[in-house]
Amino acid sequence: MNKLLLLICFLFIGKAYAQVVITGKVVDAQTNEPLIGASIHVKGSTNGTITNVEGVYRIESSADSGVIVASFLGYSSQENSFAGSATINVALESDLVNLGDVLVIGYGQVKEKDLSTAVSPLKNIQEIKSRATGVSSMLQGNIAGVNVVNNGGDPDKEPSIIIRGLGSPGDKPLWVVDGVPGAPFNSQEVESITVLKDAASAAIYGANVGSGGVIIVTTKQAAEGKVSIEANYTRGIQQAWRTPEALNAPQFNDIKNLAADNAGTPRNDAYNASVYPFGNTTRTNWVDEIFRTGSVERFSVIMSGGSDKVKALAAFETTNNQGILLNTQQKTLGGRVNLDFKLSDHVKVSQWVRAKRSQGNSALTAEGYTGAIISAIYMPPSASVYNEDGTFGGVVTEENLDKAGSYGDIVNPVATLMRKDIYNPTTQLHSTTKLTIDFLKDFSFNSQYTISSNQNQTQEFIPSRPEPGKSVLENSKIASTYEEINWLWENTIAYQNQIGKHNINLLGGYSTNYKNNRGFGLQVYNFDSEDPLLRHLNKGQNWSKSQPYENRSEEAFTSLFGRATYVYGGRYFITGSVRKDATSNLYTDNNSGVFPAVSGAWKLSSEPFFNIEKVSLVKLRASWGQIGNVSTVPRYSHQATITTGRGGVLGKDAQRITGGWQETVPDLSLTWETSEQLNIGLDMDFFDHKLSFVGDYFIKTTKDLIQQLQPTPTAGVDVAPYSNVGEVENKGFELALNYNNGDAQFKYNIGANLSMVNSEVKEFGGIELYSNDVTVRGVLSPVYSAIGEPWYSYYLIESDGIFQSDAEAANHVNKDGKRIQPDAVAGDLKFIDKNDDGIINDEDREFMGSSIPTLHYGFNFNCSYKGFDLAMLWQGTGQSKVFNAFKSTTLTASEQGYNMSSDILDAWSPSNTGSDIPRISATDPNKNFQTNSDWFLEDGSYLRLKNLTIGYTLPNNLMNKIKLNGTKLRLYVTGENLLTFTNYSGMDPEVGNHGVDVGNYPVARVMSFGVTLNY
Amino acid sequence: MKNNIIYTAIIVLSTLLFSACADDFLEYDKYGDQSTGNFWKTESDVQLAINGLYDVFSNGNITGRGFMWYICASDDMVVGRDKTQSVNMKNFIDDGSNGYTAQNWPEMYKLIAKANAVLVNVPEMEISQDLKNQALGEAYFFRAWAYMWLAPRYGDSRAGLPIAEQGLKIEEMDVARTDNVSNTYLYLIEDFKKAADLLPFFDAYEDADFGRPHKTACWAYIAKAYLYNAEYDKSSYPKVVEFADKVIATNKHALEDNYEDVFKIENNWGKEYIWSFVSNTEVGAITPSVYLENKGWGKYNGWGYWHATEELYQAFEETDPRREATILKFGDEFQFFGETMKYWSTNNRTGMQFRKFMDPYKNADCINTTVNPDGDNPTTTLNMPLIRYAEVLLFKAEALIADGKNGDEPLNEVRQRAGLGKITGAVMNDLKHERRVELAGEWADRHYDLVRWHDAEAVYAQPLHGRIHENQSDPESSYTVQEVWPARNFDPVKHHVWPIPPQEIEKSKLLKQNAGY
Repeated sequence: MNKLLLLICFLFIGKAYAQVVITGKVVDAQTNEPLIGASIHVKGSTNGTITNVEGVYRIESSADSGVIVASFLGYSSQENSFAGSATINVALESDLVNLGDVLVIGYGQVKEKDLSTAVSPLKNIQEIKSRATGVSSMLQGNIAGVNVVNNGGDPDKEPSIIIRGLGSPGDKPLWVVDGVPGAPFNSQEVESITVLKDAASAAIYGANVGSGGVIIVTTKQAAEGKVSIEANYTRGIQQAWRTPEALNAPQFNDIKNLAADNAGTPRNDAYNASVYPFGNTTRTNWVDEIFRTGSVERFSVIMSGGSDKVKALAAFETTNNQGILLNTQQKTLGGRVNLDFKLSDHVKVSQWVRAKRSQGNSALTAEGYTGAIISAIYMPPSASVYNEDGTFGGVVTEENLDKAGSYGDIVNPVATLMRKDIYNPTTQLHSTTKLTIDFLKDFSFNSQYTISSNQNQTQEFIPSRPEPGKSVLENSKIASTYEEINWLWENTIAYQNQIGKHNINLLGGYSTNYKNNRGFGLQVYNFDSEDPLLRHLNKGQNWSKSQPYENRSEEAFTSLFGRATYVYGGRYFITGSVRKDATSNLYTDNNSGVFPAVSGAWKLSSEPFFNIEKVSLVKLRASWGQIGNVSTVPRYSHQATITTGRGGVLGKDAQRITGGWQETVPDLSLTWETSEQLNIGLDMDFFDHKLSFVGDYFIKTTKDLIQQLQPTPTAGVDVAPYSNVGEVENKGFELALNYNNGDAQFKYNIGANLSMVNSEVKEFGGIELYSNDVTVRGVLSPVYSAIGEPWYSYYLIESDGIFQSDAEAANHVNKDGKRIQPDAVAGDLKFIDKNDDGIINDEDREFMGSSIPTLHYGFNFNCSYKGFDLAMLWQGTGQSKVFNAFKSTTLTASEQGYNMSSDILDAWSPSNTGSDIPRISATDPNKNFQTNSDWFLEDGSYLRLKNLTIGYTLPNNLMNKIKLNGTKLRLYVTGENLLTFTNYSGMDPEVGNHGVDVGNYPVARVMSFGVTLNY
Repeated sequence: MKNNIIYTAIIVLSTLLFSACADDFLEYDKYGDQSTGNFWKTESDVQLAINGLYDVFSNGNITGRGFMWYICASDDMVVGRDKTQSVNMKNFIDDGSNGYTAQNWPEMYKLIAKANAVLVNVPEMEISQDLKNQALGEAYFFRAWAYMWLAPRYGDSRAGLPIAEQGLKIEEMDVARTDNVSNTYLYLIEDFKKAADLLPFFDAYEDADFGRPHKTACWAYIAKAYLYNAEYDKSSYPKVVEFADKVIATNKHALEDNYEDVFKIENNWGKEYIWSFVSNTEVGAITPSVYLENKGWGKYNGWGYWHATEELYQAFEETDPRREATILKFGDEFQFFGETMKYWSTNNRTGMQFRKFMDPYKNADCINTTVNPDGDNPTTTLNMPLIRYAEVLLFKAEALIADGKNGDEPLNEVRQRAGLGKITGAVMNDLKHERRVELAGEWADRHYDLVRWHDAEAVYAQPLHGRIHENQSDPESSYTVQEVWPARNFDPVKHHVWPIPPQEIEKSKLLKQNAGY
């Protein structure tokens, strides 16, 4: 297909037959600076050119006389007539005297102040890029309505970005990089980021978007002129800002003995210091052992330059993030080459090649049995990290194996972290070829073909775990690989014309997308040696325990789309778009959907009658649109396949057998999920655009929601089928204020944003509620979704403090005088019997909010004075809850020999009645720690000094003195998560895992130093 | 001229584009798996489908713990670890949502759905009659077997189980419970009867097919189902005898000569075998390891969840060799990882461990030969008996005695093997005693026996005892018998059944929880 494109390119290399030559220079009318890349064309012809680095142009005309039009993004165009060859210098008036920037939107660009949809740019991008974090976290707190929630602090995990509330639980924004969905990029290359929040703006990206929104990233493009180089190096350290504390050995024994006494069960000899003195000596602070000071490092270079005909850019970036838990890390390596060829005045070809490789090692933390952090609490303090022979230590030493059974089924967390031996690079390789042909003066044809390969290779050796605790005596190695080949071919034709006061902009296009996945994997068991040099697959003895697997799948999308924009007199804006998408992921009879959108705006301040001095802009906006989504539907979900398993055993010598069964019952009527959004907005600027305000109200409705509806309890369906089962509504508002002022010496900018979103599941397959299956050790299951509530809500029994006496517990009765908690005594939690039936059970549960904050806000302050610059970002959330499940096993003495949090020392006792921690006991008949109650629920809202960056750019005269003329050198220090204000008692309120904190990897505090060089 | 070229090019391009979106561009078949469209065609399809029925055996929540937690409620054992969900089940204060038992229900209905698929599709297929019979026989057997697991635990005279009939569409699949569990028993008995007609005797199977259901396994289960149903309908007793006799009359089964040999790996397929969970060192039943000393004295990840009570020990007659074969107490010698050990334990609640299932751990090289090296899925090569010949004899004895007839003969056959004297004119108490000591710790379900005999309330009102040793690390240490589990409140009306996992109730508009939960 690429060949065809090239052929077409060659066909169009033509030369205009010239008679008259016009030259000149285009400058900014105010600054007199040359404007590079301003476009010049002869009106009424297809003749056009752009200005070079000096702002100079040269154009030939076949007509003797006419009009040349000079235009440049952000400036008003200007027309000058000519007769015969001439020199015409043009001074363009900026139309963005603080009138805002030009934003890149889907398949085009628009001036921020001309928007009729809800589109927000990330401001202060240059300052933000100094930060040591990834691009996703850069969005946190910076844009109203774009809510970034860190999934803990694991270096190998990305934050979740929720734009305008969760419609479908699988919602993720679509990243479009230089017009290519999902292309890899490096943070230093980013030139601008624009977020398309409403359906009308995002609709043009259609099927890939869903209700998740679109984030458009524009990277630095090859520019004409001398070679420029930008280099950046950042290095810093990261640390946990708060860690939990476990009991020491004597405290542990005291608590276990007290617990046995309180429960009336016999004491265990292992906890008796005189019988087992070894167990009464603290040898290890396990929490200190697993945490470390991590580091962050980034190096990047961007080079660009070229001529009128050929321009080139090369970029490279490498990052290394060493997390705060032992052996957790992520490394990336990325690069891009971009070449632009101008074949003729009408024909341009561009080629991008992008590559990115990442490799990481994350830690299992959100797991209640073996999570690394919670295990650091469980592990006996008398145990050692290593045995004397250097092997990992277990709950007891070799000499004390008889006491092993007195401690729990616990894994050594240092061993868990350090044993992890994984090599899992993911490599993305993208090639994009773009052909642009301008024709018939106002038309432009674009054909863009992207082919990408996304590869992963995983080799993981899983050593045995021989030490006493939760021993596994076998080792194995997993090896797997997959590749996805994905091509996307988009063809668009655009038409733009200004006829008097009428501006018309039309776009039509067609795109096809095909993905092909192939992969396989295997697991080999029983290696004689675990020597790192002998961990090769061929050393494994048992190749039959696990069968190798192979995956191969295909999918395709086709889309036809169009958009029309009409602007009258710069005051009335109206845009309509429509899109038809079809996919192979749905059954043929209903695989396509049509999704329209429309938006309009009225710039009141441009009306002739509008004359309020201090108000520089008033614009009303409204938009409505629909977007289709099938991203949650797996390939072939409409085909009823026979899955196989090897769980059965038959025969005299007990051999495994392979069995097959229909795993699910497909729903052939499954069709597109539709996200519909209505947006109303108001933009106002004051004081000559120094103060700007943007306000939006939206209602986003996700209809025909695609979910796996839990089959009925008698259906016996292994895997729930995907069906269109529900409707979800997210509505809310967003406010953003920005003030910027200053002079050449001192400039400053103050911004504030706030968003509120209310999320509600309106319908879900006719059932009232269902469990999201986020469980803690199979005991607690606090997260449910239900009609009238947001996704992933807490569904809990209300607790009401602690019974201070047995009599109080006995007096807790229902209307019939029946004891509600017959097993409760003083020191147990009091639960509220909502339905007053005398039993505490699931019918007493009620909804108590969600981990997803409904309120997000951010403040930023940026200023520069001479060479100094300062940026500060505060970010916070409100109305979010965290389920502190860490308490369920670390504040109870009823868990099989686990050590506990030191907070248990403050547990309720007859002499410590003020505590809110239930009594210490080896049994828990009242189910204090087994009840899904709000005792675990805590306020998860917080306010953070998310970032503070201070930079200094060396003055030009100094640079000249050291013979680095034309070079800019900026030094900076930057800190992430410097201060956190929260009532949450766990490590950090951003826990991920749907708000269930089992000792999840905490977000770190990062301090770093960097230097940027521009040549 | 140039414009014409452009037009032409655009037209060519567009044509190419639109041809790319021909219908087949959006249709792909799945690689790697058969789909229902091309399944149910060949004999190997049928083989695959019936082999799929056995997949349930790999689920440790069924074959290891799961229903076993309900058996743990009996007076034969206590929960060996501080584990609230287990403790609460034993104390009848669990709501059924805990992960240990939540899979009992859905796994069994998945098995029923798999069996239904065979019953719907196989009859119309053109395959050999032998395979067709085998397939339908196994499907009827497993469907009945699944209901048989659920019926006594979740159904009683107030409500039976919902019956998922074959051929129902998914939208018709929400089914209400029947009004009495008797209906469920009669339904599953019909299935077992059909299976018995279709399936061969065990000795007709090739070695590779050992473990597939056979005629006497069906009859034994029918006897058991009638026995359970007799709680509601006394007229079932003669039917218990009828089907137990069918098993006995074949002369294809007999008791092992020595009781302790029943639980040896080499007798997995011995003469006493009727029906077991078949296991190897990769998948299968983990029960032996769940019984094993917590952390296996540092050698293996035993889970130590169920400890034998003093009450069970005392239930044996003094000369009964089954006592020492069943229970390991301080000072008793046994083989463990190639060593002769004398039993002691610092964490055992009662000072006694079940010995029955320790055969897999006796050899030094047991890892990978008789024991799974994966301590998180500690299966062994010992097949766990679900019904063995001794229990069939006891079915018959119980039915006869409970029906006012003489059950001495089958009862004494079991006693004789243990070298104990004959009883004449045995009464229910003799039967209850024999059933308890013969089948202790097995899936015969002592707890449900107490429930159906209406003994549970009185028995559970007594605390349970264990041996608290002076020095827990010394096999020779002296002990005192102490209370290790306090008396429990068993409400015979409410606790006659267990709570259906509430997660299942939530998925249905029709399924109702058992009263009182």
